Amino acid sequence: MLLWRASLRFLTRHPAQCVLAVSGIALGVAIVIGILLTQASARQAFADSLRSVFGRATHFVVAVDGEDFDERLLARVRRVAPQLDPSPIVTGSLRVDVGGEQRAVQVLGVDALALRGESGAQGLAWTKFLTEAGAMVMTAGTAQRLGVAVNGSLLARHAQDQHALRLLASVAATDESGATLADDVALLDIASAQEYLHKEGRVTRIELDAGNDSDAATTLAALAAALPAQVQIIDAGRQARGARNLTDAFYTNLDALSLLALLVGGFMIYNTMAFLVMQRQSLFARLRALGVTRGALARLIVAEGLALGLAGGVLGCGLGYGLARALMAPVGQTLRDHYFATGGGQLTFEPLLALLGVALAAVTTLLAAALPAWSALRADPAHAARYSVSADSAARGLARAAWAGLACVMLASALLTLSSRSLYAGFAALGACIVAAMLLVPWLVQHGLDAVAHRHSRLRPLPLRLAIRGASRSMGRIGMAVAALMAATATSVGVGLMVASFRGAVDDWLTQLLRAEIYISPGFDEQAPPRIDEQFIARVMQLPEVTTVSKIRRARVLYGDGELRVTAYELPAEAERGFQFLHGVAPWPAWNNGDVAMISEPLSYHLGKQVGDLIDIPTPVGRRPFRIAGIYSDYGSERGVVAVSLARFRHYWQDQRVHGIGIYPRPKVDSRQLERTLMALLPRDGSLAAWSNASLKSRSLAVFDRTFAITHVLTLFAAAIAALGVFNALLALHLERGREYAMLLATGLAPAALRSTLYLQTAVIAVLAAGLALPLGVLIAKLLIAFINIRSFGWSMQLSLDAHALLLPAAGALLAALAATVYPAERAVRIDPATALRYE
Amino acid sequence: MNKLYWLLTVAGALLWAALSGVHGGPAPRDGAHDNAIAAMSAPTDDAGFARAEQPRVFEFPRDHAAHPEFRSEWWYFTGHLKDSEGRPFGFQLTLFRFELAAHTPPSASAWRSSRVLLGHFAITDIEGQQFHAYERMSRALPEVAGVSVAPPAVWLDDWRIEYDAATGWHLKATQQGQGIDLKLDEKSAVVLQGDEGLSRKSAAPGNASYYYSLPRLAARGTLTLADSEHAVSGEAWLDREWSTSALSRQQAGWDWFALQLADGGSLMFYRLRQRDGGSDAFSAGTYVDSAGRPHRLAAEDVRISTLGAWKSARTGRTYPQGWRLDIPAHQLTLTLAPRLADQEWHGRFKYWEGAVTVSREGQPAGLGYVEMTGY
Repeated sequence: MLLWRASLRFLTRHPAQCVLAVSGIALGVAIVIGILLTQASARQAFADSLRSVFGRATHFVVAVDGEDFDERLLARVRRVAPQLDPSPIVTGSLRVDVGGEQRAVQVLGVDALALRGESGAQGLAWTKFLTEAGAMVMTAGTAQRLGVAVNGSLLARHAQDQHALRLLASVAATDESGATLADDVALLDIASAQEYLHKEGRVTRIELDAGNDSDAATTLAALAAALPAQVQIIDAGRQARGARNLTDAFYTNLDALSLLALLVGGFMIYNTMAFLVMQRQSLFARLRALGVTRGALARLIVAEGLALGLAGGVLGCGLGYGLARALMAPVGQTLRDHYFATGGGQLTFEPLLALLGVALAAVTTLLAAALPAWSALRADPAHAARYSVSADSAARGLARAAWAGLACVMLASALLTLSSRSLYAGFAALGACIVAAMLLVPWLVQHGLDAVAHRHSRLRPLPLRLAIRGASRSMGRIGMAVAALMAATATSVGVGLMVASFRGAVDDWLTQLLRAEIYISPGFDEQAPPRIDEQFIARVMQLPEVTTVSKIRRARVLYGDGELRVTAYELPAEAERGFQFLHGVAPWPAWNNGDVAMISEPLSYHLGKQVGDLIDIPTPVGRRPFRIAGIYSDYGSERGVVAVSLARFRHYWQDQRVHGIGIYPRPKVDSRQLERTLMALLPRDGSLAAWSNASLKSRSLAVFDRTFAITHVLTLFAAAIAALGVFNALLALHLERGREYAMLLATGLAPAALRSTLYLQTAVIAVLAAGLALPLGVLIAKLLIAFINIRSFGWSMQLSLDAHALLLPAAGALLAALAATVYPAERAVRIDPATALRYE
Repeated sequence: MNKLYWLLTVAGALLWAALSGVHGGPAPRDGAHDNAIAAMSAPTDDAGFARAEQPRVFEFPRDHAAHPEFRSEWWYFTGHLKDSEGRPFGFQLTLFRFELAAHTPPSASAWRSSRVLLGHFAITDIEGQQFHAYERMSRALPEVAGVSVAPPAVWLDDWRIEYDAATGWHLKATQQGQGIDLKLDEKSAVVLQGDEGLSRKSAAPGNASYYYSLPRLAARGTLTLADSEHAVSGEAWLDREWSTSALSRQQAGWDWFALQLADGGSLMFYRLRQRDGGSDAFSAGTYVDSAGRPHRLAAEDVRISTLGAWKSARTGRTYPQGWRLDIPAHQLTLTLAPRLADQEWHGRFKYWEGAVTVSREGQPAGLGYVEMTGY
């Protein structure tokens, strides 16, 4: 009982320490929970969007080439298999203006009469849904985000057209049956969907429900036999899996970040708790001298850690939820921009995650308390009472950590050597490297500083000498905080360098690839159908300014469990030079006459295909083996692309239309003038747009930058939390050293000199942390590029040392550390030496 | 009979159920009808549609075809068939037309259509003790569903009803191996129901339909079961009705009787059941005697008593099974018995409609069809 009172008394007498401990734990938990929750919600939202779009369908009729197809096939499907309740679906996306910002809204065009399901939303005016053009239904959350009330309208754009969408009703995102309407989906009648998306006469898929057919296999076989070769029946589950694959790479990014969060958060908690115990080493020694048993003390420390851990854990979960809320918007936007996924706006509360957060806090706190408690309890009471931490034991601790660090380095290299493709091994190795660096840093810093102090024992000015000695001596205490700062800075540097290198590579690639002066395409809508026919191309070719054009046609076909992107090119010699081959040779010579393909680097990686292998491309007339002549550099698709000649594509697909053309003008033609001339040729419905070489490149890079914006946000956040950790640690350190500072003041050190000492001490620590962060950052970037990027995307690139990415996080760490010194330094110099010393 | 309710309920509930299924939960079963009627009646606007306000001059074959100026309409065929070995069958083929709006804006999308077609097709295999019932629905679409005026025709996928002045009616429907392909010839005159074809459903003017029947159509053709094909012949009944508004909220359901009597007479009577169990005053029918003279029947002219009950294990609903109809004015006492107990529709809409036998004083006296809703 006396013991518990002593503990309580310590904590209440040191409210600042208490707050620091709890907030340190809370911040650590918050970042982990924040990122995991964001990720879980994003995944959930994506799963929901699949479920609602795919409904209860068991099978789909889809075009082999992944495009929309003739709706008249529905009549055949209905006749052959009425018992499968065929339900046509038209999908696409519209842009809506929300407060001057363009947002993408997914359109789900349904035939209300053919949909399955029992019932639900009572009192809705469904007749209006069917008969009123532009009548839509959304989730309440989506309607709110888009700023539209029931009976209110949204202005939606598709190309140059505008349509008013009237919100007929909003529904709950999930109802009691678990069926959902996904976020950012506008449910429209199929008529409105066809009209607004310019898909009249076409459907995206026909959904089938074989769940109630006792002889489903026979029915499906009969249906398959009755359908033309251009379409196929696929299993709905398989389609969902394929769509899910699309987002895997995106989640890889988030995985990396949550790993980082876990590391930083864990170290924050360790640091906080270790400090709280070490600080009381003399008190514990005295208690031991008074006859308190080790067991009783150990129980006390455990209980204390548990209490603080739980408090911090609960607080951290709340904070993490707030963080996740803030992160959902950019995450959702990335999903919508790049993966044509819906959702991402709805934060789902995950009780399991909250439990994980609290458990993480409790376990880490206990672990963190255990190590110092063990050493405190083991110590000889008489000896330990005199001084809080002996220089010897601190040095031993640092040395032990350093050995553990070396072990981590070995583990990392072993992981990378033994696994060639596993992304998780790559992540584990990366994590091990960071942990190794964190364990090595305190020892390195202390020995480095000691060496400096030893060699320059008469170092002037005095504050600098004091600062170096002080920094060296405090490593045992704040070593972990410094290591965390270093790790966060290094990760920031590493990710920054990787992104900068990546961007540089994409920039080079675009410069190489974009050889034409002007491009005509539907823009950035990957789902847009091909609209350019040969008559249009002939009109362009008739312009006197134009020498030649390149043509591109895209198609998506189902391949294995996912989809394969096929790109068909017809290229003039100038454009052929835009391709950089990493392996093999350019396929151009045989390209138009035989089934020869080139594949992009990511596809080669994902499918494990090499030069000379065959790739079976599903065409409307069945699978056709294409020989791979070369593997080329391409950052356009992380899933990868197989490129064939347009002539071969047209041979198999029997479709003359193309998605885009590139225009090569005669020398000395004014490209702006040419762009205007071409604009006049474009269809008035706005379905096609002309892009200059420069604008296409800058648009592409803008998309790239948006993709990585979230990465920047998260690394900055991790760095900020690490800086807060350093703030906590320094604050606690300086508070504890109050008496020492008072002594210095009493023995004649000027307050100004003490202030400089403290700032210098911080600066020395921060400069060292940042200095060590730079090489570690470069190492992380190298690992990201050489292992993580390759293993998750299949993209290779050169590391380029971008000064901005290198120095900005380092400068930030320095500033954060100095800012953390302001309060303790000012407090230290204002302290009255007499009062402080009397306590002694 | 009052199948208008039926149509409104079916179409409404289907729309409502189907649509809300996008994100819906299980239906509160008992409230389904009320909700469906509310869903359909609340937003609908009869402006722009013609109404049945006074008797009209019927013209055939024009009136066999669709009347799209009215909101709703149906072609309701029921009948009894026998194959060459005397194996008996019952069949029902019903196509409904329903306009969701009076005007539809022009569009390049075929789906910009507010005409909905609903079909019910059933075969009662009396010997095999099987009831095969199928439902289809679509908005009018080229190659899928629609109506035509000349020649009169209505179709939903490969279910088709058409009339040709030279060859008469032609019915064709098939699903999952069960099918009919029948030629029907008119053996009797058209019976105009109600007031010379104007069938009032409530006191409010315009709450009425145009309603005629062809009670005796000689049927001949083939009937297919999953494993066999049968050359069949027999007799069918056609009910034709169209209207815009005939709604009352007081009724819980209805019983409809269409009987072909052995003496050459026929009887159609519908009883509207009120929520309190009583019969609505607008229940009505027509008795055509063996000489072919039609006699209007008012609610009080027919006394109906049920003789038994059948509980569906599938839906848990209990339906009357067996009836006695007393029409004192015509000295007619008829006893009806189902040819198969389970002729329950148990898809999205639950009702009982099936083939029955008619007897008089213990002697066989004809065949018929009975429809019971709202149980």
